Amino acid sequence: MRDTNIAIIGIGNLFRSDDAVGIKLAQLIRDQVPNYVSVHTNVQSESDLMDVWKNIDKTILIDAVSSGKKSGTIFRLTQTDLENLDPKELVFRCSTHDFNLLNGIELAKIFNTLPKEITVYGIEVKTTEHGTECSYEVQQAIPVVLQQILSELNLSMNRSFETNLSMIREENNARS
Amino acid sequence: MASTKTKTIKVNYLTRVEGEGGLYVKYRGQEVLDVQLQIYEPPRFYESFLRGRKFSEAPDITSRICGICPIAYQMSSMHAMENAVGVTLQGPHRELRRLAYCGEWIESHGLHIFMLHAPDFFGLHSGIELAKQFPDIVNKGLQLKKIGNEIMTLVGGREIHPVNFKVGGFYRSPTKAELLKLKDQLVWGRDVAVEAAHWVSKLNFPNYEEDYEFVSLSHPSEYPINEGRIISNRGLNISMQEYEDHFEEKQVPHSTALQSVIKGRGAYQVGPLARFNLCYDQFSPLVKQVAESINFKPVCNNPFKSIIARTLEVLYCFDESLRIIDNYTPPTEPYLQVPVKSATGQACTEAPRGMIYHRYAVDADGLIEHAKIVPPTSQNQLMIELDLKKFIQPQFHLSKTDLEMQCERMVRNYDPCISCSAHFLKLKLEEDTTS
Repeated sequence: MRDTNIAIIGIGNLFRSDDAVGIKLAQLIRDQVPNYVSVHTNVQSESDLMDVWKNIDKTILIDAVSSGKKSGTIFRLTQTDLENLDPKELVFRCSTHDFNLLNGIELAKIFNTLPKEITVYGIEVKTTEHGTECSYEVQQAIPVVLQQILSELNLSMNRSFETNLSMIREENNARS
Repeated sequence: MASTKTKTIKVNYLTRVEGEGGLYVKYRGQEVLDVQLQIYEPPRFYESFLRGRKFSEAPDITSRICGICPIAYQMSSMHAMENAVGVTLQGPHRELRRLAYCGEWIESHGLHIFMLHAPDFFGLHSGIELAKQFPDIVNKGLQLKKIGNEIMTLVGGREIHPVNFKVGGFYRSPTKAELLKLKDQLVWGRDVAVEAAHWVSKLNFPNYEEDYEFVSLSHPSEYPINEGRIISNRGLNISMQEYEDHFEEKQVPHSTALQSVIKGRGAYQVGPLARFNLCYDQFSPLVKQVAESINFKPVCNNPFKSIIARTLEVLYCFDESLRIIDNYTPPTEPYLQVPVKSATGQACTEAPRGMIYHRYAVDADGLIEHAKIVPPTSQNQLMIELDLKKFIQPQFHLSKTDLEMQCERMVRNYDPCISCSAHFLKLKLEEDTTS
């Protein structure tokens, strides 16, 4: 029995192409994790974040990023990185209505609900136009981020998970 | 000597409002030449793509107009469809709808009071900055909003774009035990709302008043949410079905939202301040007691004080939700049968930010032939522009940054939901033949 509760949160909009990458990654990981890891794909406001983070020790957030870097670039940010981040430098794409991830983290800090350990994975977008498919560049990043997150949690892939990954890889190869 | 040079203030992207809009003010010296609330959120064509859809789909389609106030659109479309075929919901069906709407008011008002509007009164730029200064009240405010969401989830199936509403009632009605689970939170929320009303009443309000025509629904036995006659402080008193005889929408080139006016009179205000001024007597005894203790009674003509009216409405919604839950007995069937026939129906309900109007014409197969939706922000849009013109006129001594902030403050008094109001814009091309 572990004494650490972990929350994985995928953020984005499923209908805005690459903006969906956070949710798609979280959906892929959902069935592969033990019960001390909760996976959330419906966080839409700061108060949703606070709710998810109640009694959580470690959290991993996955979101689309628009920073001008090469599409598909993977960012991994720790809490220290986030504290030193220039908000103008890296824009996390989240829903409208003035909610963004950095604001949520800031509020959680103020209300003392921030988990002890926080990691943010960001994937640089190519497009956020209307659509349900991620771009080729972002698709390629998906299996890489999945593996990184599993390693971070000291989890190994189960068989169906590996099948999922191979399907993504095959699809990517076919598209390339 | 006053400058004669023409200057403009442009706020390209209004923050802390729902949706995408901007502001354009042109002035010369101390004289405002032009004010435009520019709603450039793309047109959304809802009224057009409702055509040809089944009447029963209207609540689920119109729900998508807004993620903050979906229930306002669902309720208005259901009531209009029911009005068309002569079905009236009563008893627990009506009470459940009112409960869901209370949830939406709490959620929407909670967001606006604590995250969007209150920062203005401290010269702050965001809810985050406000939370740093007032962590306790902002944290509680967000908890209030969350309880509103929970009511919507319990009655509507989910908090954003609920799925449990149908023309004639509900797909499933909750049990008494399910509703009672909310009770402790509602009692807590009611106490916090009292505290919040005291907090907002002590804010520092600009000294600005306008002789508004306020418009809201009015019901003989309850604070207006679901239904009522349309009244104003200038003698309007009409049924919901007479709406289009007295109100019209006009297209302006700078906005994708149509602007509503009262025929022959012009701009008017809908929303919490209008309801408060016109229907104060229908508040519950607790709300009236709190209003008296903070010395906030009708008539209030200061739009900045809408934050107090909004907070009293949050308190009312907690009180009303508790009343509904205590008296609730589940309906025998979750919904009433609704006949399909060729008919036209209208309805108004009170969205958090003001009265909303829907009209549908349905053919003999139950397919929608025509839809008309007038959201509250369309109705407030012209009033916002007039207020801006008057409010900033004496303030041109301020720096441009401060002037911009003052303009944004005035807009936020109305809690505009720009996403809701962006309609199809009809283009009329006119050739200028003058030389």
